[in-house]
Amino acid sequence: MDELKIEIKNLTKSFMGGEGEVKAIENLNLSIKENEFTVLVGPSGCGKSTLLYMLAGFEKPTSGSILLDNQIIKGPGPDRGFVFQDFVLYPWKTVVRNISFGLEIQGFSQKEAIEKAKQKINLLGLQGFENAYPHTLSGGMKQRVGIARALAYNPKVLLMDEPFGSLDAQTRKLMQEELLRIWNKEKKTVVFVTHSVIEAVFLADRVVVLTDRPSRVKGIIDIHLDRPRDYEHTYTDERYIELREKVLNILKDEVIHHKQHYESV
Amino acid sequence: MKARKINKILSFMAPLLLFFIIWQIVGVLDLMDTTLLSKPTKVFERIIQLIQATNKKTIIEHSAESITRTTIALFLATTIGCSLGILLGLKKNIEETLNPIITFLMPIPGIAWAPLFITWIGFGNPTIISVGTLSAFFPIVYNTSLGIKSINKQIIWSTSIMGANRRKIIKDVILPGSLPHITTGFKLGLARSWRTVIAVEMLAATTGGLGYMVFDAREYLDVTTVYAGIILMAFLYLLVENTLIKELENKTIKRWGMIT
Amino acid sequence: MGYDNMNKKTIALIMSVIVLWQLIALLMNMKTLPSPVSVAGRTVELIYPKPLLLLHVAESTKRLIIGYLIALVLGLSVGIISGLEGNLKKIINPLMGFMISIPTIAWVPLLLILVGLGDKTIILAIFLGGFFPIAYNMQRGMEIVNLDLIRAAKIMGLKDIKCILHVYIPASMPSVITGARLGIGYSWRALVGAEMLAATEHGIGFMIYASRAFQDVPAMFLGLIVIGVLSYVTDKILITSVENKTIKKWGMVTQHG
Repeated sequence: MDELKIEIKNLTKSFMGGEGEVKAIENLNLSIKENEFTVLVGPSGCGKSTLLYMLAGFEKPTSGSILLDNQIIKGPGPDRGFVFQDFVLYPWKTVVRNISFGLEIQGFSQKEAIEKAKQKINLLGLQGFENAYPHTLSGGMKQRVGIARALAYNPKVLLMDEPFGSLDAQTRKLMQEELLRIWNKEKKTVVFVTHSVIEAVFLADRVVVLTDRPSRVKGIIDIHLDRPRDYEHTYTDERYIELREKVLNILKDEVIHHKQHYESV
Repeated sequence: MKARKINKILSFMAPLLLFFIIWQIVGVLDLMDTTLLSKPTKVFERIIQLIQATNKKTIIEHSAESITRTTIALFLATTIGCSLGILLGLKKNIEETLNPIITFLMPIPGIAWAPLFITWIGFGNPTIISVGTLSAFFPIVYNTSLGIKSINKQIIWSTSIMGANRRKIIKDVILPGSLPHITTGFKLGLARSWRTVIAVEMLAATTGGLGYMVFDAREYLDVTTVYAGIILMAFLYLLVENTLIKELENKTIKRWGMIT
Repeated sequence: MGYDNMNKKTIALIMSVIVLWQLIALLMNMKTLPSPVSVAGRTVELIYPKPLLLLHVAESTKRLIIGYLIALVLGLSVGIISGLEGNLKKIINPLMGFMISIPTIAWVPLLLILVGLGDKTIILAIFLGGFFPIAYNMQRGMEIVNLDLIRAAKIMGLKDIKCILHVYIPASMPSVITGARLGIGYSWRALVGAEMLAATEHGIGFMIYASRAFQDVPAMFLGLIVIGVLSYVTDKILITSVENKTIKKWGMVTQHG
């Protein structure tokens, strides 16, 4: 459990914007342990998604480095799984084929891949929807497929970019509990991005608060709450409420700073 | 399901029937010069006559010629247009070079090329099919490259993180993902090649085709045959669009929820 | 700055296309591929001493403007009326679906019998080409106008013509522009086709067609280039400028269809 999984060193990322260079991330340092559930929070528009994209290998750092198992991340690869906010499923593939596709890429025959995908169908509670096309599913069900797809080929790291951000409040709560149940079974290193403090504290082992652009680590809060967690018990837990206030207080300065910054522009 | 389909066909046919009835009444009552206006019953009779014709080409043979030419032209345009479109969609520098040329040539009506092709390769099939191909080529190449360019970046990411190589991504993600645009291009290509083949048949056909048939009928001031040809052209196009193309869409992009 | 850059690129591209064309043309005979120089030479001949080319262009432009304007006015009117009246739409819609499937050029032999050679037939063909896509898209635009916009206008007391002018038309502007753009494309096609079959002495389509008799390939190339330029001008200057002043400015998206 205590083995170092991801190490981010002096990471800087800048983009060419309409008005010259924009720094999204500057000199960010962070270490993530194996099988740890890390949640990144920060004001909207800070570099948290960009950071996740770099962990996935979708984008390259301007300077600094990210190590995964002591290897520099050079590009996307199947040791990681990614869950998008807008699901990003393949509309032309059925649920089961969406999930088995990653296994097919790994070299499994179609039959084997579908067989293996069935396990994830059961894990995510998608039985009965195997042959449905994504557009016929509700948002919550779509994201279950998204998670199953990311887990199917058994990556060690699961990267989640506001995965419940486009779901309604009820479904969102349900999916959070589901995610914890799955994480408990599958044991992955999870890096989860959200702007909801409630969600962050509920899910995380550690909450990492990022500053407004350019992003740096502003504070790290360990969440020593009992697991398994569920809404009924965790929400009423005084320690939970305390931790939530703590994260909110750290974040508040940043949000105000963010607002002033944008109002002055 | 079936009842709804029949209902739909009926609600389409009824106004057409009404139109034909009014036309018939105008014709019977001699409200206008009937030699020029003809009558639906006469047109219908003529179609039957033309189907049974023994001394000249039947209307079925004329239709078959036009359909064959359009099919060949559309096949060539789709093969070349899709391949080039994929290349343009994937390679930005080639696209930037060729795009202005394509944008310039695209709006030029197919028929404008006909005299040039007649000079180059003579009357008949080679010219008709070449010009038909050319006219269908541009919308197909344009829409294919547009489809590939407008693929969501994240759907490519979601595949590359699973370890897919470029070939796999192109085949399994980029191509199916741009199918709605490719379909649009194909439909435009069908409409354009059909129209162009018929137009060029008027100028360059020596033997037959629906365009040739109506233009030939003009020489004898035979309006009834012209009407018969016009109605058949619309009918054949609607038939292909509403059966073949609809079916294809229903089985793919419609089923996948990529179009409504 | 980006705009300047793009213009420079386009100019560089046009120059290189011309140079490449000249090089290839040197290897071929005149009948197959005339060189840009010979096309330019033919252009000068067709402008001076007798400005034939300009006459062709002027004649085609005149016909296009008349035919297209009639198509625009009638097409938009029919589209608006059938878009407003549900019952009328039920009748007009299938008829339009049928008419739009008839290749415009197929009307020309009929018009030749009914009206004869010349301007009237060509202008009618241009009208028939443009009318159906304009009317069809206008009607579709009326169908998809957000009902709440109409409700909001009605509750403020906006009525009839005013409601059409101030709400329906601006709200369906994306479809109007799509129709206008498709319509001008169809009108162009009809113009060139009809001029080949029905023109007696002038018009750009006639020029290309007549050049065939003399195997005058440079003039055909010239004709194609003129059509390309004029299409570009009509689309970019006319339609795109209206688009920029309306839906682009209002942040609406163009409907494709």
